[in-house]
Order: sequence, then structure tokens, then C-alpha cells
Amino acid sequence: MDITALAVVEGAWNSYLSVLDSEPLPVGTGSQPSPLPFGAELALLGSRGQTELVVAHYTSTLEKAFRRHYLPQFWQRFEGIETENANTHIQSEDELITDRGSVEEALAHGLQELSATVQRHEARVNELAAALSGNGMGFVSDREHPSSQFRTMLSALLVTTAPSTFAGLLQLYFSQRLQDFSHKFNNAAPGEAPQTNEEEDVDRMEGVEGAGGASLALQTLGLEWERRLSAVAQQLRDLALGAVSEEAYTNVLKAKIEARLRQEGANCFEVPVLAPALKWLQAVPMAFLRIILPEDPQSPVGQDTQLIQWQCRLQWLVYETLGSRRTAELFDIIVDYPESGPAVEDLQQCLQNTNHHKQVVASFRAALHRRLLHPGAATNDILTQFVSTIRVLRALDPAGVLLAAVRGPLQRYLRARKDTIRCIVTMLTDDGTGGGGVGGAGGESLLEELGSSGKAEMDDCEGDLDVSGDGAQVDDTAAEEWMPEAVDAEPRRTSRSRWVTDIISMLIAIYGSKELLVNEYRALLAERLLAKEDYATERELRTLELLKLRFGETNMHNCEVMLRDIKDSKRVNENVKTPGMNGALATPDDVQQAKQLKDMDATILSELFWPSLTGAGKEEILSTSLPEKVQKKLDVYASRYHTLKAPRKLKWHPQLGTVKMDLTFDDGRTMTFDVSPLHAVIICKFEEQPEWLAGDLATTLQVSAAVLRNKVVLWVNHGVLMETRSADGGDVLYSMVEYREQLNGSDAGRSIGSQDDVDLRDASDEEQRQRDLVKYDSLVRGLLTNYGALRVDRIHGFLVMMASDNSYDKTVEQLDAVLAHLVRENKLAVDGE
Amino acid sequence: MVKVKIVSWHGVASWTWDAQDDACGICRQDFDGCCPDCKMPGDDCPLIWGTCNHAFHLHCILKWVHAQNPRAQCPMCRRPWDFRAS
Repeated sequence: MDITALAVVEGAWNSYLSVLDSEPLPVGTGSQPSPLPFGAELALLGSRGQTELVVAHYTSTLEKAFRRHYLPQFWQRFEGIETENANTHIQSEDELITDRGSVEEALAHGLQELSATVQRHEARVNELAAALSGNGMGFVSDREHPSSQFRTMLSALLVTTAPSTFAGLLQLYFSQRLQDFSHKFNNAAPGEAPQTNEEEDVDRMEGVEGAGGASLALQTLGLEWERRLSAVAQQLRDLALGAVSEEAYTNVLKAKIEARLRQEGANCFEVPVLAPALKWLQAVPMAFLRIILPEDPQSPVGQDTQLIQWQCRLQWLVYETLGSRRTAELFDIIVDYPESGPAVEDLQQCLQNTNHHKQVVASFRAALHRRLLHPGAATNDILTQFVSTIRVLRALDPAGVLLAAVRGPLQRYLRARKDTIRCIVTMLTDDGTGGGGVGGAGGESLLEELGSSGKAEMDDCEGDLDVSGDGAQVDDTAAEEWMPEAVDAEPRRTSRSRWVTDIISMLIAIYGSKELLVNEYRALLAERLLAKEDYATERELRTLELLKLRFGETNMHNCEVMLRDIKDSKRVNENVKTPGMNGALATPDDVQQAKQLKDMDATILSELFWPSLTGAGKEEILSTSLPEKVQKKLDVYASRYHTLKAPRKLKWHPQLGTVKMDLTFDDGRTMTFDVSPLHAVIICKFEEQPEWLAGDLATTLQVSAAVLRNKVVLWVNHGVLMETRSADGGDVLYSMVEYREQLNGSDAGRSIGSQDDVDLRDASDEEQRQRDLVKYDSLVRGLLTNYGALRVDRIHGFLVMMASDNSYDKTVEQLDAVLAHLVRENKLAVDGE
Repeated sequence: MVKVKIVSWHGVASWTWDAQDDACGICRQDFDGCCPDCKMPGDDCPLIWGTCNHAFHLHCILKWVHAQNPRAQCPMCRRPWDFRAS
């Protein structure tokens, strides 16, 4: 480059500088900046390859100006505006009014002014660029273009100089706008106040179609409101504050959605929440976004695409928020089932969209352990909850993956409870009409379940067996309904095993076999049938038919015979009591006998088919202790039966049955009782003598003292007998209460009785333990004499081995307790541990 | 002295064939149960005695007698089988 050329360039540069100095950057709000006064110099500089230098200098000049002048001016507007509570403001509308004006004012005006300034300068920069490249030499890339360098500089400046409160401020601004909008939207439906309860809310949501409500709301807010909001959003984007503002309104929308979901259907499971929430999402947040998002057709991503992306994000937020809340509430939802059906449906949809099955399993398992599987919960309640759980989880996830993951702990826990099987059977057979401990509703539905699931299983079998014809068609539909296995299914379990999700199978699976259940049912049935006096078996027959469907005829055969026995008994009982049975002519003797039996009824059993009628808890009474007149009637009955059904004979079980009796006291009172034969026998003894020592009475009746005590309590509680200590303080004395005043006068006697009632269980337990002690004392001592010392489990092992007839039925723990007792009695010593 | 009046007594009894033996010599099932072909004990599956005083389920001995034509013997004692008149 020669000297003259250098001089020319230098001259041009100097003159550029001087012009820039003399006429600094355009300030003020002039509509159109004057043309660049140094166009010719720039062209020269440009042609000499000094473009970069000029652009860099100009940009840095601009930077200085913005840093010193424009930006401080802009930020100054927001000083002193409280932004800390931006999020909480969403909740309370009244508070918002206070500084809503100032924020909007500051932001709108500030932005407007700043963008005007920026626009002016941008125009200048473009002119500069045009002049520099006047000779046709363009910029190599867009990034080198002065205007893009200007933009970069500006956004860097804005981001670095922004006060820390700015994000909060934007949040406040957007939250106010959204509040306005949603408020107007809520008011758009005539005659409805905003923030009403769920039910009305749902109605409103359905009444006003999303978009319609939104446009109505926009109309009320006015075009100006919409224009200003959209302008602010656009200007923020233009000033490269798009990211900050997006973060702000994302937060606002998120908070709004969460707040809405929080207030909707909180602890109320009877109303669907999800569908209205999604509708509302369209109506309010999406409509709001439609205003904020750019409508610029040239933008690389069209508004529609952006809106769709947003919609997906927000919908997911709804699914996720509602889903996790419902997951946390699942236990309560199940408690309320089937009333909570809508909540279950909501959760199901949420899970479909979020795949949070794992969380459901984890949280529900935890809830189970915390709230259900502990000693404080009654077995009935656990079972009811189990049944509801099966129903709900089946609705949530028909593939059964959830259920398979959750049922394990429940079943394990129930297995450990002693009364589970009894509760299950009661639930199965109680259809709510009969009196019983179990709540009617649960039992009723279980009985239905028994019927329906039994049929379903049978259909299944048919489908499997039937290969031709209709069977093939059935298979086709099944194939079409096939769903892939869930991803998080446990691979160890085949889908086949998961398919068996009906409630009865699950209940049976607690014990692993149906025999236990069938046996328990038999025991329960026996108990019920023997308590009957009217031979009515319709209800039991119905249950039995259902059970037969489920467990097969063979398993229920015994029960069938039992029911037949009752039916036959009714007929035979009538025949026996009618003179001239068997079509024979009624002899006077015959008539006499029949008359005798007028107050006699009998249930006649096929003993082999009934569960053991004697044994634990079923006390024997000897026929010799029956009152003579009763015994005579039984004999007559039996002989007439023998005549009727020869060569069959009757064998009485005197301890079973019911007795209705009237007691007439010396003071003229008469009381009527329905009691067991043993009760009756006891009170009959008091006809012979008014006072009995407990020991004597037990000996006479040939029952154990514990059993006697057990039975006498009933009479004591009814104020028929009185329990006192005998004169010598030894044995308990029972005496007849002939006069009511006698009873009132002796509270002491009564209190022993009522206390005994409470201690009844303990008393028989104590009795049992005494028997155990006697039984094991010698055995264990013999063992220990031989071996010196043994651990409990070894003693247990020996006892199991020695007791050939299964007479040893203790667990190690029970044995431990027995041994501890022996230790206390100083018969054994324990060492170690 | 208290007066006890028993208004009604509903007793429970079980029936038995009183066959002096527990099980049918043919099917080895309990007499008080039923033969393998029957579901219901009692009237539906009666016992029958032979002149030799051996008892069987009616259905069991009938099958036996039909199989043993022309001259059936008691399965227990080999005496000629004849139904005992009741």
C-alpha cells in the first residue's frame, strides 16, 4: 500500500471520528434518524479493507452509550417495586391491585422506550453497514454483519446489567396478566362466581367451551389489554430477554396449574378432576400463551408448532401433578372405593401418560405398611382393604403388574394372622342379610364376586379346551384385546400368572390352597346350621351353589350332605312328632308319645360328613346330668325314630342344640332364656338346691371347673345367679337370686361376676396353661435330667419326636412361655443369654 | 325355690345304621357314609343284611350278587347269600 493511499485512509478515519464526536449517537425520540453524515469516508474505509475496524469501533461506542445512558435509565424504572411475593400473589386477588399498575406501567413504558432506542440505533448500524459495503463487498457471514454484532452486544449488556429482581418482576407481571385473564374467564360464565366449589366448577367448564370462554374473556378485557401484553412479550423477545421472560411465564403457568389442581378435588375423590383440568388448560393457560407467543410467520418455528409443544408440556405437568397427588392419596382412594371411582379413572389416565407406575408401587407399599399392616388394624378391615385394592389396581392397570407388585406384602401379612381364614369365609358367605360381624356391603359384593368370577373361570376353561368352532372365534377376540406387557413388569412372573386377578383366587392365594378355605367354611356352616331352629337353609344353599362353581362339587360334597341333613331333619322331625307315622294306625300309646314330644325338636346329622362335633371349645355333657324329664323325651324321640327309620338308630349329642326356658322366681318374676343345653342343665340343678359350691357343681355335672365358670357367667350376668365367696373363703359359691332386691343389695357379688365376664378368655387360657404345665413338666424334666441342659429349639425337637399322636401342638415360642413358667416355679433353671 | 320350665328343647343327634361294624366289606366305605356310587348317605344308600347277618351297602351287594350268578355267596363268609327279611 503506498503512502498516498495511507494518507487518504487516515484522513477518512479522522473525519469519521470527528463526525462521530461532533454528532454523537442519536438520542431522543426523533422518528427518523438523519442519514449518516460520513457516507463517503465510510465507503473509502470499507474499500480499503478497514470494515472490521470501523464496525468494532462503532459497536464499542454504542456499548458505552448503552451502558452509561440507556440501560441505567431503563433499569431505574423498576427500582422500588416489590417483587418478592410474585408467586404468592397468584393466590389472592385483592392484594394484587396494590402495585399491579406500577409494574405494568414501568415494564410497558420502559420496554417501549428502550426498544424504540434500539430500533433507531439498529437502523443506523444498518446504514453504516450499507455504506461500508457500498462498493459491493458484502459481509462474509451474517454473524459478521454489524447489526448482529450490535444485537449480541446489546443482549450481553442487558443480561449482565439486569438487576437481580428483574426475573421476579417479570414473573409478577405475567402472573398479574394471567390472573386478570383467568379472573375474566371465570366471570365469563354468567351468574358464576370465580373460585367456586368443584361441582359448579365442572358445570361451568362444561357449559363454556374452552375457546369460547377465552374469547369472551378477551372481549371483556379489551383489545388494548391483549395488544399491550402481546407487545410486551414481543419487545422482551426483541431485546433478547426472551429466555428470561419465558422462564418467568413458565413459572407462572406452572404455579397457576399447580394451584388449580391443588384446590380442585382436594381429598374429594367422587368428582373427576383430570378432564375439567385439561379443558381448563386449553381455555386459560393455552389461550394466554397464544397471546404471548410470537405470531411472526417468518420465525423458524411457527406459532402453531410452538403452541403444540407448549400444550404437551403443560398437559404433562397436569398429568404429573395430579398423578403424584393421587398416588400419594391412593390408600384413601381405595378406602373410599367404589365412591372414589372418578379419582381412580383420573389416576389411571395420569399413569398412562407419565409411566410413574414404580412410584405408585413404592408409595402405596409404604402406605400399606404405615396404615394397614400393623397389629392395630382388624383383620376384617385389612381384608376389605385388600379386596378394594384388588379392584382399584385392576381398574388402574388391567395387565395386573401393579397388583402383582403390591399384593405380596398384603398376602404375607394376612397369612400370619390367625383369624384371616375365618374372616375370608365370613366375608364370602355373608350376603349382608344375615346378622354378622362383617359389614354388609363388602360381604355382599364378595358373594357376587364368587358367582361372577366362578363363571369367568369356567368360560376360560371352555375357551382353552374348545379348539374348533366357536372356540376359535373366542380366541380371535382375545387376540385383538391383547395388550403388550408393561415395561416394568417383573420378568419372573409370566403374564399367564398375572392374568388370574380375580379376588377369590387372590384370597385363596393367601394360604396357597383351597382346602383350608373349604374346611373353614364347613366349620362355619356347621356352626350356623346347628344354631338354627327353623331348618331354613335357602341362604346357605345359594352360597353353597356359588362355592360349588368355584371349588368344584367334590370339595363341597360334605357341605351338601350337611344341608341335606337339615332338610331331611325337618321332614323326619315332623314325622316323628305325628301320631300314626309310617301310615300305621295311631294307637293311644302312639298319641301319648307324640304329645310328649310336642316341645321337642331335633336336628339329625350324618355324623361322618360334619366337622368334629366334639373337641376344643365344645364341652361334653354326660346324658346322666340331663334333667330326667328331658332325658325321657330324648329316649322317646330316639325310639320313635328307630321305628320310623329302622334299622337306623339315633345317637344324641346332648351338648349341642338350643333350649328355650322360662324361669319363675319366688317373687313372681318370670324370665325367658334361649340358652345352650349346658346352661340349661346348670340352672336346672338349682331347682334341687338353691346354693352350689362351684367344685361340687362341677363334679355333679362332670365338667371341668373352667367350663362351668365359663357357663355360669351368663346366669350371673342376667342376675339369675349370684357369685360369692363361700363362708370358709375357699370355693366360689353360686346361689339363686330369688328376689330382685337381693341383687341390688349385694353389689360385691355382682362385681365378681362382671369381672369374670371380662376375664373369661383369660380364665380359660390360664386353665390351658395349667394343663400344659402338668403335661410338659415331667417330660421336660426327664429330658433335662438326661442331657443336663438343652436349648429351647432342641427341647422342641425332642417333644415333636416323642409325641407320636400329634398331642404336642406348641410352637417354639409357646414352649418357651411354658418353660419360663416352670422356671418361675423354680422347677427349672435357665442359664446363658 | 326357682321354677324352671323348659318351653322347648331343640336337640342334636346323629344317626347310625347300628351294623356292629364300621365299614362295608365290599367297598370299605363307612356304613354311615355311602357307597362309592352314591352322593347322599342314609335313605339314598341303605344297608342290607343277609341271612348270615353280614351287612353291606345295598348297591354294593346287588352288584356282587349280579356278578355271582347263578348262586351268590356272602363275600364275608361264603355262605349262600339271601336277603334277611326285615
